[in-house]
Amino acid sequence: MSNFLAGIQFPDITAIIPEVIALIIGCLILLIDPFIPKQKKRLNGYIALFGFVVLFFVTLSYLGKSIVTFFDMFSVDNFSTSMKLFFFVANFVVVLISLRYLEMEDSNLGEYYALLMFATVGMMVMVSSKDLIMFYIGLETMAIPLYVLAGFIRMNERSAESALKYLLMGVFVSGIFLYGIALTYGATGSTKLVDIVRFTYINGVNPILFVAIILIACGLGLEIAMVPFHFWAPDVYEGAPTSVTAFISVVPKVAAIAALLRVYFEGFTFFAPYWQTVLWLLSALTMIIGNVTAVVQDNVKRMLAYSSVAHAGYMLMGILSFNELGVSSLVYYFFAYSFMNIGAFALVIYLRRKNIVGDRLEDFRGLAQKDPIAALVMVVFLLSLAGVPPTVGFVGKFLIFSAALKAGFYWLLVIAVVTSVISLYYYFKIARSMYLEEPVADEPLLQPLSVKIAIFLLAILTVVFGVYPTPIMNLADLSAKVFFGY
Amino acid sequence: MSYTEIFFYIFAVLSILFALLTVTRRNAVHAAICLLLTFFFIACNYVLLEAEFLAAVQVLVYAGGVVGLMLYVIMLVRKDEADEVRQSLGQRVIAVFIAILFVLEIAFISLLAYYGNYSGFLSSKMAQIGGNTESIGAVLYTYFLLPFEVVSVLLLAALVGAVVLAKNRIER
Amino acid sequence: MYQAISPYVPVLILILLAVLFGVVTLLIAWLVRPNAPYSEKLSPYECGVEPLQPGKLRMSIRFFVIVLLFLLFDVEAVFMYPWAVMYKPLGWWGFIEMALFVIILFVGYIYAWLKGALEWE
Repeated sequence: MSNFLAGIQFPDITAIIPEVIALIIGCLILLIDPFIPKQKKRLNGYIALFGFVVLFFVTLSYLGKSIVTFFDMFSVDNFSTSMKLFFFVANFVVVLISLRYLEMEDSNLGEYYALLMFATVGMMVMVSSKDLIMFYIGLETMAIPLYVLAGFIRMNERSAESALKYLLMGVFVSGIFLYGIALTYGATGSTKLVDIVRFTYINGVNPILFVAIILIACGLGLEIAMVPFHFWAPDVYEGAPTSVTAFISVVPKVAAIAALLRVYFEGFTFFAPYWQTVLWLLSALTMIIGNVTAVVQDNVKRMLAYSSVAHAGYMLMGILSFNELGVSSLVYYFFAYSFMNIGAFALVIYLRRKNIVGDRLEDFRGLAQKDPIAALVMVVFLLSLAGVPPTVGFVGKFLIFSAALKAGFYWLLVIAVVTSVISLYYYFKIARSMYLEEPVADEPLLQPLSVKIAIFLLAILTVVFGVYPTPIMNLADLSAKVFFGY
Repeated sequence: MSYTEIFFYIFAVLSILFALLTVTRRNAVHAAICLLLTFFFIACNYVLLEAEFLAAVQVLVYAGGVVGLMLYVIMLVRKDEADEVRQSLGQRVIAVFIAILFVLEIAFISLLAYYGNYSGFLSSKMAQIGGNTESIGAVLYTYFLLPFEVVSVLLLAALVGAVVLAKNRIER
Repeated sequence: MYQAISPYVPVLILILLAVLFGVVTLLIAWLVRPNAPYSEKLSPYECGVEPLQPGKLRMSIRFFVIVLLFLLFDVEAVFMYPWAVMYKPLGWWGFIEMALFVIILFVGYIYAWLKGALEWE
């Protein structure tokens, strides 16, 4: 009893420095926000922007390091590091498009950025964890700020409704996830991925774990917005503030997919044929339902919601390929998807003006005449989402498809290609509205500078990395080595 | 029958009784009070299973906090509005189905525990450290250090969220 | 097994006594009192005046923040139980951990205070 702590190794604190910095920035914003006068609330946003830049460079120095600490629960490896870098890039852009938007919605509160930071901490924990409990707590730390952010617009019933829907679904699904963890623990006696692998290696396959694997996929499936759990997506995406929609549709989705990848690759390695079949089905359904339903949507936010469901299906293909190319193409796809999807939502924000949300198809009517550059940029994003060269979307899809081809999933590939062709139709619908229809006379565009910067930044990234994908490819290859390097 | 068993059956019957009352009472306040009693008797059973910490959590968080929140929400909603809402959403069939599923599952796990050698493993290990709460403390603050600290971030985010959502609606 | 629950026997006795006290008081009152109801006597008593409003009032949304804050700090308190019983063996290690935990939540408390969430207005 007395030397109870003797056998316990002191954890390597350096591994969690980025998480601690993010937490401190979040707390800082919370504490100084009450002292900032109402006209200068933008300062919070600038702190967050600065914070993400600092975090990016701090995390960049971890590239190449490999630390497993906190009793095999927390791992800093190239995969988690590149995921964190991804979060900071995406969040930087999300903050950029939020700055002006929140003022327009009269909800410019410092808590927005603080909650964004806390969600980021949750996601960073999620991608680094090697323990199911850790995953769960990371997931919840990510999810709770998201529920609040979805209902962030003051006194807006749609926003409140979307937050409530999101919360109810989220709580229900997190129960399922916990149940999966409990079954895993019951079957293997541990929640650590290392122990789960060891147990299954020694004792063979356990039928309880089959159920657990499905339940864990379901639990993460809400954030991924894959098919049995995609119902919330259109409603929440439509009702939530557009900047939050841009965030929810990209960053938590990627975090959940990355977490799922790690659980399956490192924890349930010996169940690969089984979960490949499960994911095959889910991925196929997600692609078909997402793309087909998107065709009949008139609201751009809803259409993009279904399109993001479909993209989740493509990303699942990266997991189920279960090869090195699959992981690296997935990491590339994450970056590609964030550029084009946040870009498309940023254009909806760009169209936001007095009494107009900017998410109806009519709002895009004749944009080519009103603002030719914005229309052109939107076309770039749409082409990229559809997977047309020379954009990041094309490279990403190409890589993912070749990974699936390498793994021998021919039928899934056929489904993916056919649904991609379907997707061209509804992306083209927006483009047609912008170029072939006459503009409606209404409120002039506000053209806020920060949104403009974000949109051009994203457009440039979309094209440049589409033509010259090497930098991201290198990062992606490094991350793939984590799982297949030996 | 030992004393433990007698008390177990008393508490088990009472908790099931009040759980039934919770779902059958029309008056929402009565239902909430019955839920409180259900939680309490479940906590009693935890004590019998030597899971004192779980019992404390059950009483503090569920019986104390969650039921308090429910009662508050019941009082927040206007009664005439609440009465207009349809009482049954036709979920009975699904509810029965899920209940049967759970019963089957518990039966399956009990059988596993009965025939396998799963039982009694943890209790002997725990006794070495001193008991249930002690063993949770011994693990939670050493091996589960990081999850424990992240929980505080989770609670902080929840706190901020609660204030934001409620304050936003008061200020107007 | 009896040994294990023995510390709870006083609790049980206390609960039984509490229930018994209520039941016996009501029972005696029921036996002793005269039973002669009439309509005015059965109406709700509001300082002798006719009731002004129905008994069910809507609670203020302000309680909501209070209840939620209570729930959160309740959970925080729950985490202190296992720490308290293992305080000695955990030593400084445990103390620093708990201090970090409390500090992070304390930020939230200060925030709620600065925001005026604890004020009634």
